[in-house]
Order: sequence, then C-alpha cells, then structure tokens
Amino acid sequence: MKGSKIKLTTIILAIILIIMVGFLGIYTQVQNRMENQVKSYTLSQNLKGARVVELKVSDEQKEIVKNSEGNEVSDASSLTDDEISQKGYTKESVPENPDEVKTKENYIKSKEITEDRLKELGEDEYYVRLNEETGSLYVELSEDTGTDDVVTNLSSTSKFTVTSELTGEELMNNDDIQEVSVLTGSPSNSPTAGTAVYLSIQFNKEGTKKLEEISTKYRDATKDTESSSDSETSEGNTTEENTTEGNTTETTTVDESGEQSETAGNVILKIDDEQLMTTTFDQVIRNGLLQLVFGQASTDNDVIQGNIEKAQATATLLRNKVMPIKYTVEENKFIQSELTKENLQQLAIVVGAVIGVILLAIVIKFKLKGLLIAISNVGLIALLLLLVRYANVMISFEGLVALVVVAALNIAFTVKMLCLKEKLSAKEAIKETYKKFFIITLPVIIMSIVFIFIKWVPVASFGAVMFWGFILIAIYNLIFTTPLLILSEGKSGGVNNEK
Amino acid sequence: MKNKKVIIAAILGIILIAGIVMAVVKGFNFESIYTNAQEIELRLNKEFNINDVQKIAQEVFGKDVSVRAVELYNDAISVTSKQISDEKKEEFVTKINEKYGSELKAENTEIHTIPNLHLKDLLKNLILPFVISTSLILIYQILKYFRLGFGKVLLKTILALAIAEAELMSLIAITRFPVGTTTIALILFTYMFTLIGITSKYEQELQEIKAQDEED
Repeated sequence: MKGSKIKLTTIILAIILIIMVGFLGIYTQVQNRMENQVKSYTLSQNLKGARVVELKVSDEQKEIVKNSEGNEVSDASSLTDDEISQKGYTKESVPENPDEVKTKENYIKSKEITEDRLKELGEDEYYVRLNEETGSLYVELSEDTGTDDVVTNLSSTSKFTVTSELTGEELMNNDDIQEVSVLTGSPSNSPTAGTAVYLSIQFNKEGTKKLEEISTKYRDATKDTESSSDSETSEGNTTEENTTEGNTTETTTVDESGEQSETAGNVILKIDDEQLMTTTFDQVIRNGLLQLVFGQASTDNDVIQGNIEKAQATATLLRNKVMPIKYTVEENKFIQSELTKENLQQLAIVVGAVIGVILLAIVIKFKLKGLLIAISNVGLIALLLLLVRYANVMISFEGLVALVVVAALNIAFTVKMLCLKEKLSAKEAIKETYKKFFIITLPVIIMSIVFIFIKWVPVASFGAVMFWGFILIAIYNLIFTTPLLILSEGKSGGVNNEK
Repeated sequence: MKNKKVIIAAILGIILIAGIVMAVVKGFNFESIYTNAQEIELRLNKEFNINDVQKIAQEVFGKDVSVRAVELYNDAISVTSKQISDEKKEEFVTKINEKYGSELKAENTEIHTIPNLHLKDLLKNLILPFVISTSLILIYQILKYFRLGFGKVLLKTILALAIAEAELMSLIAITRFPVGTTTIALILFTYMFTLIGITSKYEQELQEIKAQDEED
C-alpha cells in the first residue's frame, strides 16, 4: 500500500516536471539574463513570415557590339569606343526584353520555370503569383540562411551559350544539354591541392556531335592531344581521370586560363550573359561530357561546401528551361506573419480553456481517477511540445491544428480507458482500449506517415505532429496513465477491478 | 432509419448545390493576402504596436485588411487590402502620423499591386499526399474489412472522402468564410476526421457480422 503510494506520487511528480519543462522551459543565467535552455520551435512561413521578392520584367536597355557582318561580338565588354571603331564594329542599344517577348504566354512560362527552379533548389514552401498584365512575379519563400542565394538565382535567365570569340557565332546553347551534375575530386595536375568541385555537363546526341566539332576546331594546336591524359598541359587545361562511384570516366576539364589558339581562336562559355570562361580544348571530346572547375581546389570544408553550393545552383539553373523574359529584382523584403505572437497566445488561451473545461468535466464525472487522467493528459501535451521541438518538426498553422487533434484523441483514449475500467479489469480495459483505438486510427497513422515524406510544409507539419502524437499516445499512456489508473485502484476503492 | 438517411442526403445535396452555385456566381472569399490586392508600405523608423495599426487600418480600409510588420525590427509596416485608393492612403498616413508623431507623406508612399494566388496553386500541393495516402488506406481497409465487400469498402471510402471535402468547400463558399490561412488545415482535418468516421463504421459493421456468425 505504502509502496503504491510512493509510486503514484513519483509518477505524478514526473508528469508535473514534464508539464513545467514543456510549457515553461528550463532557465539558466547567461550573461546577466535568464535564457531558456529548451530548444525553440521551428516555425513555418505562415507563423513566422516570408521573404517576399517581386520580380519585374526588365525595361532596361543593353548595349551590344556588332561586327561588320552584323553578328554580336561576345567579348566586347573590355573594348573602348576607339577600339570598337578601329575594328569596324558598331555599338547599339537594344531593350533587354523586346516587345515581341513580352507576351502572356511567356509570362506564364516564366512563372512555371520559377516554380521548377524553386523546387529543384530544395525550397519546401513557396508561392509564385503572376500579374498577367505586366508579367511581374511575386514570390514568397521561407526565410533561412540560404534564401539570399535562392533569390539571386531567381532573376537569372539561365541562358547557357558557347560562342566563338572571333566571329561571335553561337556554337551551343541550353538545347544541347542533357544533364548537369556536380562532382568533386582531386585535380590530377595538383593532387595535393585538395578537393575541387566540377560542374559536369552531359550534352545530348546533337550536343555531343557539336562539342566534338567545336573541340576539333578550337583545339589548342600547341598541345599533344594523345598523351594529354597523363601529362600536365600548360595553363591548367588538363584531361582528368575522374572516379565517380567506382566508374572511371575520361573527361576533359577546362578552366579559365586557356591559351588562345592561333587558328580558330577561343570559345567563350557564358551563363546568363556572364562570361564563365574563355578557353580552347586540349583534345577532341567525343563523349559529350564537359567538366568545368568551380572555384579553387581546397582542403577547407567550408570553401568546398561553398563551391558545391554555387555549382549546385548553376546546375539547377541549367537543368531548367531558359527564362524567356529577363527579370530584375524590384523588391526583396521579409514580411512577418499576420499571426503575431499575441494572436498565437490568444489562440493558445482559447484552446487551453476549451481543453480545461473538458478535463474539468472528466474530473467531476470520474473524481480521483478523472483528476489523474486530467493531469496525465496535460503531461502528454507538454511532452508533445518538447518532442516536436527536438524532432525538428516545422510547426505551421496546420501543425498547431494537429497538436489540438492529438490532445483531443488522447482525451478520447483515456476516457475510453476509464469507461471500460468500470466494466472490466484494469488490464483488460487497457488492452481493449489500445486495440479499439489503434484499429480505428490506423488509417490516420498511415496518412501521417505518408504526409511526413511530403515536401510541402503545411502537409508535412500536420503529418509529423500527428505521427509523434500517435507514438506518444501509445508509449506515454503505457508508462504514465495506465500505472496511474492501476495504482489508484486502492485509493478510490474500485469494485470491478482485477477480477 | 431510412428516412433519417434520406433527410441527411437531402441536406448534404442542398449544401453541395448551394455551394457550387455560390462558388460559380460569387467565387470564394479570399483573404486579402491571397487575392488581387494592393499594398502600401510605411517606414515609421520607430517601434509600433501592430494591434493599434491594425485598428487604424480597419477604420480606414474596412475589416478585410492585413497588417504585417516588415523585417525584424518592427519599424516598418505593410498594409494589404483589396482596394487602396489615393484618398484612403492619405487618410491612413495622416492617422499614422497623428498616432506616432511621424512625418510620413502620402505622396511618397507607392501603392503596389499584388497578383492573386490561384486556389489551384494552393490545392495542387495536396494531390500527391492525398492520392498516396488514400491508396494505402484503401488497401488496408479492403484487406481488413473484406467481409464487408471489396467494392463496397472501396466505393464508400472514396465517396465519403470526396463528399466530405466537397461539403467543406461548399460550406466555405456559402458562409463566405475567408479562404487562406486556415483552409488547408480545415481540408486536412476533414480528411482525417472522415477517415476515423468511416473506419469506425466499418469496424462496427464487422463486429455485427462476427456477432451474427457467433449466434449462427
């Protein structure tokens, strides 16, 4: 009898401790102020706020330089006006977006491409709105450390071109690309330099043919092509032996310091009208695979990671279609959620009051056992609040609704247990409650497991909270609620128990 | 019993038809941040109370107005409403100046147009999770309640889920309940609640069959 009293008190104290930590936290003094040591909630866009970016159809003019044949000269940015006139070139000012591209069709296409990019960039909650009259895009994104990089990529057209430096002729473009990936490896010309990051572009059938022709025409005649895989050639144009997942593939790597061939000149690789490199080829590329070095090889993990992220972003841009419209970032700001902290507190008070009334009714109906059940229910909510924080569940408004649903389900579970206990023994009542509850809620458990794997935050948050809620209902009630009921037998003088 | 079912079906049918009519004729009542709206941004450069600004905004623009703080320092506000005229903008700026002693000028405050967020853009994110989870749940229910009939379980579950969601959307359309922040939560809740309801109904029917078997 005394032992059961101690057990009962211990369980109640443990639940009270959970309640205090879950609702209030653990405060310690940090530099003259009290700081909660319990992990904060990870809030989603509809509770925290969102980065809002407005992309406007660019109405700017760009200057282009044309040669005597009327072709655009690709590498004219460094030429002075005198040099332009000496070479017989002409300078023209043209709009970034000519009238013929400013169509509703292109606006819709731009919206779809933006959505595809955001998806590929790993954004888990984004909304893109289109003003069909002006073509402006209004993008809402989750705010985190990578948001600025994502925003930078949004206004890019992702136009990839390989052009001849001498004639300005476009030799290859996005249509020739089949797949773009990011690889890491040690540069063969300097294996001790650390890890280099490569943007690997696999061209399609047509592109492979073009690359072979280009690499033949724009080959650096001063280099010995046949032995290039073993020898270090000048200025960093090397043939690499890259091993990826156990497969050794011979590919050509070029970097920014290629020497100018005396025959056909250099080729210029551009992304989004920005020159990536000017180069020649060491050897004829027949496998349609081009690997571009991204940044310098390094042994510093942060540097490597930074290079990987930049290369990944470029790969994402190249994987998607070219934006038919050139956009400029008009607005870029963080807007807090409409649901303020005070709104959420008010909501919590209302929900808490409703749950409180229900628990009070249980106490009135079931007396001591009702009181124990009420304490146990509050403990479960507190433990769930802790669990979602440490399980890194992103809490959205939908997640909050799931929290309330779990609380309601647990009340139903424990009341069912109490009701059955009036008719059956404690063990039988517990067994029967578990059986009935989980048979009926199994479809919802299946639903919550599926939802966890969905990338869209509102659904994932709802699923994750429900999932952890079900786990807690199963385990917590076994550890806390059922012993409470069994130990309270003697106190309340139950008659139908342990038959 | 049969009469009760007919009455329930009739009520559901009326709600559904009324909802469809309302949605077609008047559309849904989107929250201002989800519809074609206009926005002004004021940089007060001093801290403000969002509830006070909200009150002023509601006085000027009416009930359907959204006030949100811009950036983290609580010194700038974004006000979004379905329609912001120059007069209303001036009135709002004047009231804000009176309240916070600022010297903002209405002519320096630009009215931005925010395009609407299509309902389909919001709902398309639900298709994949609903299709996968409903398929798995159907497999479970068909296996567990095969004694109730394969076709019956399959049809009943799909119909129950479809009707429940359609009724929800109809009620939203009829009551002019704002579509926005709470809509997805309501859809998910209805889906979950219907699943629990239909499963407990199957369980009850299965128990009745088992009891009948025992009697026989």
